[in-house]
Amino acid sequence: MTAHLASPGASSTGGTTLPPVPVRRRRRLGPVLGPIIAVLPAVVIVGVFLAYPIGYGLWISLHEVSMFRLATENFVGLANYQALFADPTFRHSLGRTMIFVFGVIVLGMIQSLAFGLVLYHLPQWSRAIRALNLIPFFISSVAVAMIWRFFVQSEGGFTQFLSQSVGQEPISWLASPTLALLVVTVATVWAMAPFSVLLILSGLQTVNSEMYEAAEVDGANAVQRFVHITLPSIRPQIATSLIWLTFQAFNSFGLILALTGGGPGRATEILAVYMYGLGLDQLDLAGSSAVMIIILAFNALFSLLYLKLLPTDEPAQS
Amino acid sequence: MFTPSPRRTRATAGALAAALGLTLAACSDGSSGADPAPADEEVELVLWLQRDEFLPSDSFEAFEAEHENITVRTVTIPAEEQVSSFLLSSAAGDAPDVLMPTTDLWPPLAQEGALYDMTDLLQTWEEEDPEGFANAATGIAFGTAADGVTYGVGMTGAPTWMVYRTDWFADAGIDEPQTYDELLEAARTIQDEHPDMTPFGIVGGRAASPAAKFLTLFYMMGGTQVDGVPQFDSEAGIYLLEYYQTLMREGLASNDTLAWTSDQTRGSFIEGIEGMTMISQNIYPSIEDSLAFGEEWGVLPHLTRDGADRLMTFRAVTALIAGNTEHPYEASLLVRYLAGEEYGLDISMRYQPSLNAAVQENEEYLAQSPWVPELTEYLASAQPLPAHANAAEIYEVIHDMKQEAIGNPDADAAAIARDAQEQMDAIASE
Repeated sequence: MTAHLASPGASSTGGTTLPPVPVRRRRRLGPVLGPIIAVLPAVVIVGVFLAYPIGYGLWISLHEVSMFRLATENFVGLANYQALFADPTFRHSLGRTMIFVFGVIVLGMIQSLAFGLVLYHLPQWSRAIRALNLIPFFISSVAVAMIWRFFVQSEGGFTQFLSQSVGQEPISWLASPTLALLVVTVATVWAMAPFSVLLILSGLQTVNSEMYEAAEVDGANAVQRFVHITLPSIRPQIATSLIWLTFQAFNSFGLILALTGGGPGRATEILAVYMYGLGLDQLDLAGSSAVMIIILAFNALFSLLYLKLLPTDEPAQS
Repeated sequence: MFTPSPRRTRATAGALAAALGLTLAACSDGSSGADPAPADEEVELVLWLQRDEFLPSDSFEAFEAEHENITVRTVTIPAEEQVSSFLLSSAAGDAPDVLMPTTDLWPPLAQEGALYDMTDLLQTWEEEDPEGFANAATGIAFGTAADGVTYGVGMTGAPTWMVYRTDWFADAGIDEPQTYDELLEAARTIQDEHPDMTPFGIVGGRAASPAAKFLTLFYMMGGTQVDGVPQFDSEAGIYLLEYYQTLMREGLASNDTLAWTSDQTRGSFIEGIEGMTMISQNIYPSIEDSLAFGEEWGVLPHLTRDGADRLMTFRAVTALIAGNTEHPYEASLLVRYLAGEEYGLDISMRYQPSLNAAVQENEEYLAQSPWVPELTEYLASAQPLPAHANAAEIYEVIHDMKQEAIGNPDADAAAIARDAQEQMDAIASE
């Protein structure tokens, strides 16, 4: 009974029952060891290059640290985290980060869906234009900062030209706390959303066109088709795009440092910028590691949330 | 609007206290390091440049030819990362033999014993090369910590001075200002004469260190310090904040000032759309490429605040010997070279002014830099920018204070200064 259930290979031996021990070994070790051996290299690589640094960062964040010896001194538990949350500068940075991340996600998803649909409907002969969409993604963050600085600076910038051409006073985009946060949000979306557009586009290309045809026969208009067919069909790609944009927003650093330095005041000092100052300027390795863990926790939390709300294993079109 | 950061105060104090471990470890084995006697073997010295421009034109060929057993390997580590990278490299046992941070950032390293005490090596230098030693006197002063111990030698410096458009002033009939009040009045006149231009450029952005411009101006206006902590809750400090507020309130500075870095101010001056601003001396050759010194632009090194003593300060790039170098004598030979006339002239001609006395009198250099004679008198009394061991945290408070004043021209400057002073004093006391 046991051999019959678990060993289809054994049943093909012309009715001869195999000795129980060899059969058990094939049945138990084969299916177990095989996958383990197959994934072991990946596990080792991930463990060495991802899990160890994160684990070490977590370890450091729970200790006092000697910068000279890179050695942990006393175990202090959550004291570094408590000190962070007691610091108004950190709390304000956390608040600004949430606003920034929300802005990047909303604007980024709007751009991704809009550009994705436009690129999907481009005629066959003009589809090389799709490659142009990726250009901002390939520009270094410092170069993006320089482009946007030129774009928005009130003296000699493009927006100054626009303002003067309609007889208006130029706007000091980077000198206003609110506008500066808006500028870094839009600049981040401009630089990072193209990859998200690509994800959405790949999802659109997998939608079964017969569903649209059937919907049209049923009298559904374009909006109804988009809401009831397109969006559910590309749910996995939307979830991946949301994760991508969230990661990019939480980890955004070089662009902001080059564009505003975290200012004016501390208006654009999001957590990644705050972490840089804490770790490299003020040499507080434990504190900056705690910030790193907090950023990681938010990233993981948001990812789980997206995957929960937008499960990727039940395609709507099935 | 801006908030204090007690966390940061504790952070650096904690890091430095922890760093004491290495100090004790380093000192307990007989160092400030290894024996300062010449080595009888091949020696490779690792030198951290803070910019590629500090590599000599011959890539140390002349130095290595003179010292046949020494080779120099260079690594470029940006100025703002020299201290933190040095700490990390020291912990990993991969520290350089010589590094070159600016004067305001290395006091924590000296305080924690991570640098080599050059006292004996200076004596050897004076005995072996008295003329070269004498020419490096200013540099040695910039490499000497508050405790009187010399850890390195200042190589180059970039003193920051007020520059102005001489032609605009002449056209408007403005006499050369002698005080900051007169300079403010001149800015008002320039605004009337050139309404499309920016009379005064301020580095107000957060991306620029406050050390080069803001603190220089503070000490030039008669500011004082206690143990490296600038005293902004003072007549000079309040005067400086009100000065900036006046410039902003009257539209004499750009509306974008809160976002302006040195690039914007000097760019605007060089492009000819700005009347006056603070610019470091190493940028003057770039100004000269666009404007003629004397005819179109000039320097105002003599400005004072009425009734106040002025103090010229600046940051120098300092060649320091690492505390755990295995070859301190050879490292000191490299430091001598970097502070010497040959290297100094090379770098002064193409990048940054050397502190070497012989270079400052070199005819070739003076011919290329006509502004130097006007500055010599004021440079003679210049001092290293005072710096506290927690300078990085104090600079954050200064950033907040400066930006609050610029962003709120009608706010009470005295209250802003008082709040900032409390934060700086708290940082210094921990």
